Amino acid sequence: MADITSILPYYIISGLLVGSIYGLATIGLTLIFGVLRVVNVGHGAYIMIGMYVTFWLFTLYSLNPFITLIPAFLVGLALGMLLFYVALKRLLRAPELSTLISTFGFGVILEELAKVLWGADYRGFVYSLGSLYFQGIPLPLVRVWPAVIALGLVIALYVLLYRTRLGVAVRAVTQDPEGAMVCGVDVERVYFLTVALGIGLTTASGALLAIYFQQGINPYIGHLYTLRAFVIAVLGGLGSPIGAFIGGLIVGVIEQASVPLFTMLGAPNPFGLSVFLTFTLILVILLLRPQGLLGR
Amino acid sequence: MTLSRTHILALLTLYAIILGLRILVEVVGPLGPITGQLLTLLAFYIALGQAFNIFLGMTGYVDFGYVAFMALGMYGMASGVVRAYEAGLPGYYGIVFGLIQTITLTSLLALIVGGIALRLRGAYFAIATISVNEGLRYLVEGLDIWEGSRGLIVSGPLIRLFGSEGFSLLATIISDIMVFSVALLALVISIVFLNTRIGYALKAIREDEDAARVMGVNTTMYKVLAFTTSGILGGLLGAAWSFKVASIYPPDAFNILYTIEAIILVMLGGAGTLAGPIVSGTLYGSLKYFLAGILPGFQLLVFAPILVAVIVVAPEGIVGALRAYIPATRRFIA
Amino acid sequence: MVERSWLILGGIVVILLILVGIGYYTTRPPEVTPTTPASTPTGTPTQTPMEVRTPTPTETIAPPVAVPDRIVIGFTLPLSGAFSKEGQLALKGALAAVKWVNEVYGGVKIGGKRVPIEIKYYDDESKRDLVISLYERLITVDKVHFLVGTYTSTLVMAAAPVAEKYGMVFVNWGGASDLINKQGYKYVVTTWTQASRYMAPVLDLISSLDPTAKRVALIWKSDEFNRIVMEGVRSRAQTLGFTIVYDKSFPIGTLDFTPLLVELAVVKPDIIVTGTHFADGLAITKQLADMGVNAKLIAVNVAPSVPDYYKSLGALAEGIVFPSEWEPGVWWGPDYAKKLGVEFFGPTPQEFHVMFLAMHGEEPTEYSASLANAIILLVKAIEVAQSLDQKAVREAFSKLDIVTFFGRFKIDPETGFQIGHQSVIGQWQDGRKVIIWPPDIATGKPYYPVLTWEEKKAGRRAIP
Repeated sequence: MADITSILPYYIISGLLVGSIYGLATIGLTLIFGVLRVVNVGHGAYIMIGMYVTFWLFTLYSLNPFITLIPAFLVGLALGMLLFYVALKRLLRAPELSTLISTFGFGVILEELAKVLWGADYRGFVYSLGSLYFQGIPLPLVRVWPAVIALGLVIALYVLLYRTRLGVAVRAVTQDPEGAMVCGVDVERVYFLTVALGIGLTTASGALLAIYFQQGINPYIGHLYTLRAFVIAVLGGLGSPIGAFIGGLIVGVIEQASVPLFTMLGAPNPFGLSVFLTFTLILVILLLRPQGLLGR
Repeated sequence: MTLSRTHILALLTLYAIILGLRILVEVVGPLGPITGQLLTLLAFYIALGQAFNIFLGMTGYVDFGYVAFMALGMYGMASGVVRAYEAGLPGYYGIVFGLIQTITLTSLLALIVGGIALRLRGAYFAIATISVNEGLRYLVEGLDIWEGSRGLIVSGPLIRLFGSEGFSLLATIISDIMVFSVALLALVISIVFLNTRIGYALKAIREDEDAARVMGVNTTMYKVLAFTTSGILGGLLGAAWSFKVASIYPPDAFNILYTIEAIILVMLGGAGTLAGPIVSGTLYGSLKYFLAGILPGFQLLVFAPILVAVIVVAPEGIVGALRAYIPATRRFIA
Repeated sequence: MVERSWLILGGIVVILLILVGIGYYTTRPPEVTPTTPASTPTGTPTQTPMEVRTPTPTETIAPPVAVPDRIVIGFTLPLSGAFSKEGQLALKGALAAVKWVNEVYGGVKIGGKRVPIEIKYYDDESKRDLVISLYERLITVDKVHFLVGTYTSTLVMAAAPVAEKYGMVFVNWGGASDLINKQGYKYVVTTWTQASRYMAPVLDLISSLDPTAKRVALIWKSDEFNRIVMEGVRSRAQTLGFTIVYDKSFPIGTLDFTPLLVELAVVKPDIIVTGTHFADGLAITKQLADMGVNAKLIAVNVAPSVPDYYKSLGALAEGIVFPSEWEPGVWWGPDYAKKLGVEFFGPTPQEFHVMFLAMHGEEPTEYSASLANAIILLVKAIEVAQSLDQKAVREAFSKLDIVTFFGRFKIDPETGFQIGHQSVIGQWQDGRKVIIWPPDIATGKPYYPVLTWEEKKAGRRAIP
């Protein structure tokens, strides 16, 4: 199939678009890990909540899906605060691993609540903005804009981290919590704000994913993104938000572009192998550069 | 902590209670709602917790890909049986061959992953192991190994090899015996580890790996030892369980939820404690089992807050909290 | 300062969630028909009691010793976890079946007595480990008289050995894998069309419509169900002289099909057949539209048979063709039985439909109908056997050749494999599901070739 390789650029563009959202969806995880050393095992549940916020506000009130990004972010902030106070605050000085259970439990609670509130139905909506054409293949604008917004949010986060006092405090705590405390940083407040911001960005990315895919939203959809987020976080360097974004782009491109490549090589199951390739790549990177691409 | 004779006796008593109940149920039939398979499920969780505890509890490393060992155990046993069936050999050959495969595959995986990934620390190690697990799953699916995504169905060959009666025996009594044996084996190995220099070395690694290395502890060797032991036990547990589920599908077998369950079992009881997995396995298994009937459809909504509450109130786990707050218990609960 | 902002934002989340939640309940359109009483919200069978008991029916004759005062049927369902949607739908069917047997039919005729049935069920969380112990609990603790299965092959595969061990009849209504009945189990009876025969009739349909459409593309999820479905489609394609021009799978958990669809846009097949479940079935339809991949006929597995499909895709679902075990409107009634020369048993399809609507305020789906059918068939088998003995009832199943509202039931006596029942092919036409195959029960004509995505976006409907 010679003509398929000739459209490789399309695959790459498509991979960059989806990867940009994957990147945003990972930033919350990596931020929280960097500052609190907590792996949020229930990460996907917050993506799911973001998707539902967009879905409901669009279907019930016909709100423009892009505007639902704001309520999705706010819901995430609030959930992050709840998570911090309920499940994390008391465990900060406890054995490191205990937060694995509390974050997992919190995620399960959210999923089950969503199931009780909204049912286990697979939901979706249709929202279209027309398409661009690239190499004669349509590239829907509902996929382009979310990616652009994700990029915008990442830039905003960068500014927040590197140009504001709060950002300095966050980075200080990331590098050395005790040192930061000695220098007068209210570490607990930084923890609190990081979790809120991290979860807020995660739900916002959920909203963008909802606009991108629009279909198949259900209480357990987050599971699909949790693993991917773990992998991307390590690829970019745990604790590095910008690394996570770049990691997302890489995983996006691999997922899309390796399918035609494996097809050319005649693999029986190219899509399955492309996922395998992603994980193998992670292993290789971890071994060569355990701190990830942009890790310290 | 060193184990006194009282500690070991108490542990074996706890274990014997569950085993005794299981045997009793087999003889006189279910005691109220307590059935044989419930007790075996509890033993399964206890074994899972105990086996994982040897690595996670003792070294402090989180192996997020632990389920890969169980999956390889399942596949090892099931493919052994299927191969024996296809070759026209008697069934016992299949089981022996399956056991050999299980042990070979899991120890091979443990040595490779342990040798390479154990250089990583903390979350990096955790995620490297996730990658191994997911990578293996997609390799099985992508290259159609062991029937790939179609699933390796073992009940047919077992029925043809052993007859219906034989299969029932395998799926219940024999695999139950295997599950209980793995639980006991894991307990005994834990006791042995803790009471020898291995235990001291692992504890040193958990508290401060660099210091341990400086003090002359061969950290890599001990880590790989704990990892491999824990992995092989996980594989044997998987092999036993493969008779029960009778079919193996990659997404089920490599489901990360098993790993999370194993982590919950270790942490809920108290990482590094030996009574921990017994307590948490019993609690976790019976909660699930009873909630399934009381509130069908809502049990996770009840279960998850309990989980969060327990860990927030007692971050060192149930047994850990007992030991911390009631000093008298330290003499017999380990 | 932190405390205050936390309160404010907590307030916001509560308000938003309430807004969304309440808004959902209040703005929900009445489900399907206004004749039904207040409908329970979809997916929350909270109010349903765990055990459904009914007062003993009136016509009691002196009971022989062997007959209990009620027959208990036990099962587990995935009411939470990955398959909770299907589990919840099925449960509604079970409740309807119990109601029919006890209140309309008057109880199982056994030993000159009418005995009501009762169901006992647990939530298996879509987990195989729980299935095993819960089925044993049903058998040994609850001492249920008969077992029916749970939903989906992987869970059924774990439950069947337990049933076999205790020699309990196990009526499998929810495991579609052909392999379940190839294991040599003695007590497993399957009541619905299994995977290999499930989707193949799509090709018969096309052959009858358009002899020139020969280039078929297959895109399927590499799970056991869709794999066997596709094996069935492939072998039928060979028999009927189709050419398979594209045949690729995607791993479980894929929601982004772009890589495959781009290739498909290059291949330009006449017919696209996808092997999917809910989430991916929805997603693949939407993405076919996004990528503008058109074909003369597009068949999607599983997802379109559920009304949610049209709700979430709207006009994009127009003209999509799908297989189903059963649909409301598939009136396999007494006429069909007469034509086959076999007995009809149970509620007529119309009766079942009306009763289900009245009970649950929504249309029954294939999952609801299949579990209901399993229970009704079990009742029939008990009546034929005139005994609660497992062997006798299993024998009775082997001898049964019968039509219920769900269609024909006839098994291969040795393996329990279903050979009587057949799946139907439906199509979304102007917001309704229309049965278009097989011709003898079709409720409408097929719309062919289907509209292009551009036409659908412009608002055209698939009205033949």
